[in-house]
Amino acid sequence: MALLKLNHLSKSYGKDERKTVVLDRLDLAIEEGEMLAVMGKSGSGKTTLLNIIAGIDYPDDGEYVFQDAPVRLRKTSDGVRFRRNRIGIIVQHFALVNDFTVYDNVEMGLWETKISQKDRHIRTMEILDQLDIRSLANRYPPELSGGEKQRTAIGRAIVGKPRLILADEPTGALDDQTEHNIMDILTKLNQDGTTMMIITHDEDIAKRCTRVVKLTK
Amino acid sequence: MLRFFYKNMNRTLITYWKTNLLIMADLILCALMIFIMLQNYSFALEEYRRYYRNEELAQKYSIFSLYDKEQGDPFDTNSQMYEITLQVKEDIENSNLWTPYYHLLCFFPRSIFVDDLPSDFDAQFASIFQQPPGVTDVGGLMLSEHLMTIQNIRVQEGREFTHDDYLTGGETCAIIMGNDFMPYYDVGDIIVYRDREAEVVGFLEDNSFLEIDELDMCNLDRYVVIPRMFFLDDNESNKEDSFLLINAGILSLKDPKTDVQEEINKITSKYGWHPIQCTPFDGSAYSNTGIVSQKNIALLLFLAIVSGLLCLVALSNILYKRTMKERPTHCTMLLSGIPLWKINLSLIIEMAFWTSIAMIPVVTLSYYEFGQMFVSPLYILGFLALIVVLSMVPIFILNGKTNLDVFMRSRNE
Repeated sequence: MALLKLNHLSKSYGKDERKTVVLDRLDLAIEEGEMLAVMGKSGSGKTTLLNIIAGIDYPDDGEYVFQDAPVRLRKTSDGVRFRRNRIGIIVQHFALVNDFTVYDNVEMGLWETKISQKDRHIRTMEILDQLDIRSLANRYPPELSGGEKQRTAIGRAIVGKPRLILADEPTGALDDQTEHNIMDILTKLNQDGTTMMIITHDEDIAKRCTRVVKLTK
Repeated sequence: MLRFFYKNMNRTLITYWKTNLLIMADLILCALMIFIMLQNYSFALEEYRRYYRNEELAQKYSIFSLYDKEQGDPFDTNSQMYEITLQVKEDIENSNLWTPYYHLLCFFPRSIFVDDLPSDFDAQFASIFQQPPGVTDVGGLMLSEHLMTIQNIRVQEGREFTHDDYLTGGETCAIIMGNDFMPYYDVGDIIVYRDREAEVVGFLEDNSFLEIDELDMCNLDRYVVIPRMFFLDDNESNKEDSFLLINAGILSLKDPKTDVQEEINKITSKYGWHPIQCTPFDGSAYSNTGIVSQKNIALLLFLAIVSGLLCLVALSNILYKRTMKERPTHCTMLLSGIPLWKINLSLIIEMAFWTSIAMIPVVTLSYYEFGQMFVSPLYILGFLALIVVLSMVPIFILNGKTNLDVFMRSRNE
């Protein structure tokens, strides 16, 4: 069963002569439980695709359906509401708040939910255990290695149990060993039932996914 | 749901402590400037209204008779005019257009008071009469009926003067003493002067003042207040009263539109008495000062506004730079599902906190210096809040333009 569907989706930037078509009538479906790798050259529209799915950017044309409901967003606040409890995002540069501890960074994904403080704490500690960063709970991001930072970012993305994880070059800033560890974590999450879409240039990462989509200009 | 506010404000308090100190200092400085200027403005405005606004001041007139002594003294009890003078006095006193009042400074010899009355009670007269300390006279003030009511001079202990106290011919005269006499006298004590008795019936409130004229005030704490010159015989006393009323009296109008000069002229022409000149307490003698005072008020208000604007620019600049640094954090929060309005509200709460902190020195200073707030704290808070809100407008615009697409595409931490 498809978690989301994109039908004839188009997106371009600029106007008139400077207009650049990034996505041209794209059709794509992501099945529940799938681990999809999206590859393509620079400028092929990978991040644009991710941003549209995440509700950060909006398509010019076409249809976006998430869990059988059409998605029509026009404002930043619409995107914030849409992502909440549906989509977790992981980016190459980690996007952590340097003034929050690892615990706070992970717990931040639950601040807008209605669960109690006690349950929030239990859930956060579970995630820290799952990602093996419990001992770092009181540390701040600048004190962490790249792998630890990315695990913290993954923790924040999955703590709210989203239906879909979007990862944009999640290992782009990491060494080979750390990349391997992070991919192990993402694979495990996928095996536990989380649908994933990973944008990558790396063939090795793509090989670990269940399906690969290549975007061409 | 409140976790975000708690965590975010904790974070910004610590992370931006230097900026926060600047914000706090800026707001405190601004609050103090506004406070000082508003306070001075309110003082100046009160003074201005008191002395220079016609509609307020035209309610009082001083009167002065223009008689030629060579043609005979109308206040001489032996002159033919004296009886007429008493009629004029009575007409002025009994007119229902105004309430007349007057006062007279007099002196009592120190010997009639208790021995332990400190010598500095009469220091002000010692210099006038070149008397050595300890043997100088003690100040007394004869206040006519209605004066205490009009000038709001109140008794702290005992009673005020009654109508009977002002009538001549009584055996014992009632007197009220200034507040500083309280340790040395009690209500009911008798003072004897020139074989006439005076009974202490009360003590004035601490820091009572007599308004002598438009500009002079007299502190009554060390004065003995008498309702009539009890130490004179009735004829002498009546003569003094007539002289004082007609030559140094003040008429407090019941209707400010009354043409006082015309009404006084009617009385004098009725009896063929000498002309009496009426001068309004409208500050006409100080018109130039009035204009200067008005300009000072405008200048103080202008300075308050300029100070506020300077603070606005400084605060806006500090907040803008801080928010620019915060943009990646805001983006991360937006990605984590925290709405923009909550990020903005967090900033508003934080600034409300600093604004309330900035009020503390102002309130402390005012209570330390004056024991009260002359300017309502709400005015200062309102002024400050206006500055803070305006300085935050660019921040809200900046936050509204947050572009997550650009953030997602950035490759740097």
